Order: sequence, then structure tokens, then C-alpha cells
Amino acid sequence: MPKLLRKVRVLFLASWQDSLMYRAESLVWFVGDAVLPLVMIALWTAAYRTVERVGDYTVHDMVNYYVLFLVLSTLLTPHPEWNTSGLIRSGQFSKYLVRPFPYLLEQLTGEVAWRGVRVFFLAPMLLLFFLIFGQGLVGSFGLRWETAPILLLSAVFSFLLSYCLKATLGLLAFWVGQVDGIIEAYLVVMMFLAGSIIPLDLMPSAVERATEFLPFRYLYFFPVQLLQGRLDFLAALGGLAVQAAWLLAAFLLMRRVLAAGLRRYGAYGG
Amino acid sequence: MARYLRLYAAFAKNSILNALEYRLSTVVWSVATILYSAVYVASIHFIFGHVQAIAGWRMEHMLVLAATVMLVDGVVETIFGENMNALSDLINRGELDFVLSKPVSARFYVSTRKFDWDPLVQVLIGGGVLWYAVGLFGEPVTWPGALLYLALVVCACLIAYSLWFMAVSTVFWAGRLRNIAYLYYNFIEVARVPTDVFRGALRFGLTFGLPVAFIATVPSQALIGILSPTFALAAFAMTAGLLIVSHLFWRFALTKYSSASS
Repeated sequence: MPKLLRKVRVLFLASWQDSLMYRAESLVWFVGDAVLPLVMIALWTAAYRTVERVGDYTVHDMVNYYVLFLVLSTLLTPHPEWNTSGLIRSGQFSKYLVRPFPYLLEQLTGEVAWRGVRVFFLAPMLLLFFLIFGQGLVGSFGLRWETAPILLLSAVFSFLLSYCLKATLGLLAFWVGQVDGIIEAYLVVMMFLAGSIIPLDLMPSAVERATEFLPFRYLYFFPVQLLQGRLDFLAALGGLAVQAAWLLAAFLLMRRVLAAGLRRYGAYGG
Repeated sequence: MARYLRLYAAFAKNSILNALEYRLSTVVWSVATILYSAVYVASIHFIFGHVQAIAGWRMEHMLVLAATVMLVDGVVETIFGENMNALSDLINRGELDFVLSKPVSARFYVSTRKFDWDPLVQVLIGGGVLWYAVGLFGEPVTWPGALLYLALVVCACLIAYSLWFMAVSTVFWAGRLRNIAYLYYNFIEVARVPTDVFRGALRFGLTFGLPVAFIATVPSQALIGILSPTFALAAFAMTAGLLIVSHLFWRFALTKYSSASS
């Protein structure tokens, strides 16, 4: 085991240096993450000039929601799908198969490093938000001490769940030549049902109930609810259990898809 | 001029043949586009289930705005999208040599070589949403309003293209910045809400600095019938100005080009 850890450490450092080298690119990606929440904040603050409350949200809760969503989605969203599908399409995937560690682990380590760099962009932005919105923003932050450990676990699960789902999508390149459109379609639906455009509890109740049967709400909406203190201990524990079940299912699916894909890949590779 | 039209017809034909080869890809991208539009329109309905108006914009107005963004983005991505995404690699790898040595305007060639049929679906959907939204208006749209709207949509396409082109041209200095073209999608993202929701300096900046307002807000206001003549004139001036500025910028940037081959 320590041997594996040493390998992971080396992989992590290599990706970390990569991500620091390409920080300009990283900044462009961060701007991409930040635009939608910022636009939604502008839209909602304008809307609150005529109404006091929207559902369970005051204007401060709403701003807080999108800020927390930005933090979580920036830090907890890996992007293994593009790289994986690209490597498979170009045949470079073979190179990774002969390395002494599993491809999916190597990719995961790299993703963690790339997330780390985002903190440098995120921190000044959060400070700016605090200066603009002040106390109101902080007032809506209501993490309870008894759900704090659950939040930590759910953040880790969220990252891994995202990773498994998106890596599986990238692995579809074994079968489909042009997987980019499928990835794009998935991202659109995923982000919407995860609550990126509007909080899920402000959607019509039928839609909201439907999201309870899908994994996406556990990526960001569930942790944001914990951070805003909207769930008591039992509800939080229940949510975590469902999230863990989704993670297990997604992990098994990813393994199966990789195994099936490799059988196919081997049949064609030279 | 006739030569350029013939050339463009050849580009488009070549792109159709290419698209026919990857039919499945076109189907998948169309599904993605339909989902995206559905999510956008559904979100507007969900938000207006809670509020009556936002900064003076009612739901039908917001849907006009949504349709306008779809039209403008659809046209721009169809004509210029693939080219803009390819341009930074072209510059970075020194492949621009092959373009510069051709007996045709380099800007024309790098901007229009590939015609992408996939985003055209978005134009169709935009037309449908526009039809639906205008149907929700209390009173019919006037002819002058509709004509001005069309003219402003054309302006919006040219503004978006000019900005995109300038953004990518910075690669002449910046070197490896492969995702710079991606900034365009963020720009369009901001256009998806009326500029009126922003206040003070930010709103001024989004009108005259980075002119997001002219992409969808100003054309939509023309159709709704609340656009002041000053802003209509400003839109035409902005379009002409940006076309000229982007051309000068490109000429200047070309002088910084260091080919990779020699």
C-alpha cells in the first residue's frame, strides 16, 4: 500500500505543476464556472425589488445559494470525460494501459490537483462577494455542528460520484466515435437537475420529486442545503446514505464499462 | 466580391459533405441543443412562477430575449464557430502560413472556411420560441418594430463575431491559450438576461464596454416596442465601429506572427 501511495504522490505533484503552468487556461475555465451563478444573482436581486420572499428564500439566502453553489461546483467537479474520450479516440489510451497504476486512478489524482488551483481564483472572489453583500451573505450560512461531519463526507462523495459518472461517459468512446455531443447533452441536463440554474425546491413540485430519484441533486444541491442548515440530522444522514448508494452504483458501472470497453479495444488495437 | 461568394459556396458545400459523413454526430448535437433550449425555456417558466416581472421584463419579454439569444448564437456558431475554435491552434502551431500564402483575404479565410451545420437547429428552435413568445403579447407586433428587430439581430451577430475574433487574435501574443475561444460562450451566457438587471457602472460597462446589451436586450426591446431611437443608432454605430476595430486589430496582430516553419 505505501508503494501505491508514493506513486499517487508523484502523479499528484506532476499534475499540480502542470496546472500551475497553465494557470491562464485555468482562469478561463474558472470564469466559465463563475458566469452562470453571477448572472443568476443579478437576475434574482432585480426580482427581489418587487417581492420579499421566493419560496423559502430571502434575497440573502438566494445570493448565498449561488455563491455556495459556485464554490462547490468549482472545487468538486472533475472533468475526466474529455481527456478519456480523447485518449481512446486517438489510440493513446494504450500508453496508459501499460503503466503500473490503473488509468482511472491516475486520472483522478490529476483532477484533484487541477481543482486545487481553483482555490487561488475562488478566494479573492469570495472576498469581493463579502465586501458587496456583507453580513447578509454570511447570515444565510447556517451549517449545524451535528451535520458538519456529514457535510465533509458528502463533499468527498460528491467529487467521486461526479468522477465516476463522467469517466463512464468518456469511456463510451470505445463504442461511439463522436462522444462529445453526448457529453454536452449530459452536462446540460446534469447541471439543471443539480440545481445550477434555480434551486431545486423552487421548481414545480413534480419536477422536484423527480430529481429525488436521480443522482444529480446529491452533487451540489444536497451539500448546499447542509451548508445553509436546511436539513436536520436525520434528513442529512438519510441524504448521505442515498448519496453513498449512488456512488457505489456509479463506481460499479464505471468498472464494468471499462472492462467491457477494454475487451473491445483489445480486439481492434494493433 | 463575386469570387468571394463562389469561394464561400465551395466552403459550404465542402462542409455539407463533411457533415453527411458524420450524420450520427449531427443527430446527437441536435439532441443536446434541444435539451439546452428546453432547460432555458423551462427555467424562465419556473422563475416567473414566483415573480411577475424582473426589472420591468415580464415572462413573454424574457422569452423573446431567450429566442433572440438562440437566433444570434445559432447564426454566429453556424458561420464562425468552428473557425474561431480552430484559429488559436492555427496561430499557435504556425499553420497560419498555409493561409497567408493563399491569394485570398486571410481574415475571410480563417473566419469562414468551415460552415458548421449542427448549430442551425438552434436557429429553428429560436424561431419557434419567438413565435410562441410574440403570441403571448397583448397587442400585435408592428411592421417597423419587426424590421428593426431583424436589422438589430444582424448587428448582434456581427458584434459577437467581431469580439470573438479579437479575443482569439490575442493568441498572437499569449501563446498557448487554447481555451480562449471558450470566453465567447461566457459572453453569450451574460446576454441571456436583460442588461436592465445590472445596475450603475456594471450596466454601463455591459453596454458600451463589453457590449453584451446589443446582443439580445436591445433587439428584444425593439420587438417589444420600448427601444429608444438613441439605442438603435448606438447599435448600428457599435457594429460599424467593432468591424473596423477588429480589422485593425487583426492587421496589427498579424505583424506579431512568428511562423513556426521558418
